[in-house]
Amino acid sequence: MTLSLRGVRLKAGEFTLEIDAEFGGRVTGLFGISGSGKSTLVEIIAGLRRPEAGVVTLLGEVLTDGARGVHLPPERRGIGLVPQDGALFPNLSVEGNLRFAERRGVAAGKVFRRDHVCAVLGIEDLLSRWPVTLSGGERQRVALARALVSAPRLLLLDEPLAALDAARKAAILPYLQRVRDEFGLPVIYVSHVPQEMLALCDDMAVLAEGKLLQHGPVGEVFRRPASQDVARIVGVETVVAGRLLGGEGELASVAVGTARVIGLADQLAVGTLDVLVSIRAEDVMLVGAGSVTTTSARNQLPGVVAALVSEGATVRVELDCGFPLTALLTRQAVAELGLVVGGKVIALVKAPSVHLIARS
Amino acid sequence: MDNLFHVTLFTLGVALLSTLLVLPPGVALGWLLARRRWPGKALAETFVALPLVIPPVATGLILLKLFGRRGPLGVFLQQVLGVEIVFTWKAVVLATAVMSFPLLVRSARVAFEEVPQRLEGVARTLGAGPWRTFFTITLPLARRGLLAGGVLAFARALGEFGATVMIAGMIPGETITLSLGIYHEVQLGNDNAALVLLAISVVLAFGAVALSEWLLRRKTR
Repeated sequence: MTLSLRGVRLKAGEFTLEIDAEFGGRVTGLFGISGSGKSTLVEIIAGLRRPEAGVVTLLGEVLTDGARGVHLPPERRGIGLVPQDGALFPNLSVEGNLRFAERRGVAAGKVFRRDHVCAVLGIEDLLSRWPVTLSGGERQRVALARALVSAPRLLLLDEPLAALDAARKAAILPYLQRVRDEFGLPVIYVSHVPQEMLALCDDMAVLAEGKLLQHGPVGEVFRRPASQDVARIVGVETVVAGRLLGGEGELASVAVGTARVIGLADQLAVGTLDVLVSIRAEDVMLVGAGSVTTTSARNQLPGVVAALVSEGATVRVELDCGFPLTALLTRQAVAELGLVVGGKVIALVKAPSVHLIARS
Repeated sequence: MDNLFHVTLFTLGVALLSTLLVLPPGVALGWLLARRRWPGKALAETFVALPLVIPPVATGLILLKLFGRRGPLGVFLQQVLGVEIVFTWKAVVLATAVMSFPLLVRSARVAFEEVPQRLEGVARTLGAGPWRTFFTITLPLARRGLLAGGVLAFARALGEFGATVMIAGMIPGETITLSLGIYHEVQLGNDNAALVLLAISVVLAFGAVALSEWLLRRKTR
């Protein structure tokens, strides 16, 4: 995908949305708290709102050009939208909803066959049902299927899991991953939940008060927030890819870089091999090298200080422990430990603070 | 008896015709008021609501002045199309249509406002143009309110008196509807005939309400 937004501006409520961005990844996360302008941006991309200025192009085709008065209507953009509640048409059955969208798919000459889409999303048995009789999770799967059979060039998922409880969320996440892998469609995934960003997205863009604060690979944004604002919104976290080595009860051992960490495996499906290891920076304790004797922390990782970044009252300590690990310490603690770049330390992390997320 | 049958049929026919006439513009205006911003919208709203707030007789007088032989519209219709409105059955249809129009527009407006705009937006992203979106999503979702508005307009047309009597007069066999008939018979001292007409009116009103209930229920899912 290359979706480009140049000088896009729109006054929306309290703030002015002003975006300059190029989204190129397979799945790009759009991250921000509510009221940050995420949904407004989604509507601009879909063509449901017209920005006051700016140029929006998809794969080189101009969708909106404020200065030249160009505004391609939504039905000619080929951009599928799945909103928070699915927005199924209540006057049509599930099959009717799919048929409604299929017409565009056929016209576009490129069809994700309905049977195939239904099979991937597991909704074959719902076709004759009416939207009011569906559960929240079923509704979202049907909405996703409906968007897919319209053969979009880009899929916008606007907080598709926000209306679901934790159990339903966990149940639908694998479907989203399957859609991502099966249809090879570029996706913009809007959410304010870090776990969803980690599980689905390659890149992420952080939005606050109508401005794009940071845009980069997911792990990079979590590990190295570009500003204190970003750190406050997303939290500072180490996110690295790892491989499951095996486990003992609920504990799993994971190879990360040249190190091994131990985390809780109770959230993982059986047979998972590739995982993302995420450790929040405030969950990492540092002690001087050689001073640990016995501790409850399952992970004792010797490392070298790679960088010290001052952020107000706290200091972000970037370590090399065989993989890049970030810790968040107070300035006082840094002074007492005598931390300097190149110095040796041991990072202590409790197993429950090591979050493992399946990544196919 | 023959006369009764004729009056009943005439009243039903007029009410049906006037409802059918106001349906397309009423639905269109209701949609425009609910979904679009345009210059003069507030003025149009007030103008449409006028027949609801001023006395029906006054509305009738305005129509008489507009469509009368020397009224601007009356002259135009007669000279260009050769159509005479005042004191004919057409005047009855005109009066009932004007009186029921605001009821339909208001119902239609509310009905359209209750259709979530997000559904229409999503329909557009799925490849449906504005017309297809309107006919397959908006209209079906607004149908209950529109149906209720239609029944309301029909009922209003059945019972219209004030405006009709001004512009159509009381010409037996030509412009007399049930409500005009009731007044007419009482004036002549034929109370029994008036009561019969009254009974027919009640039955018709009852039938209209029952029909609308049945239609609404049938479409419920």
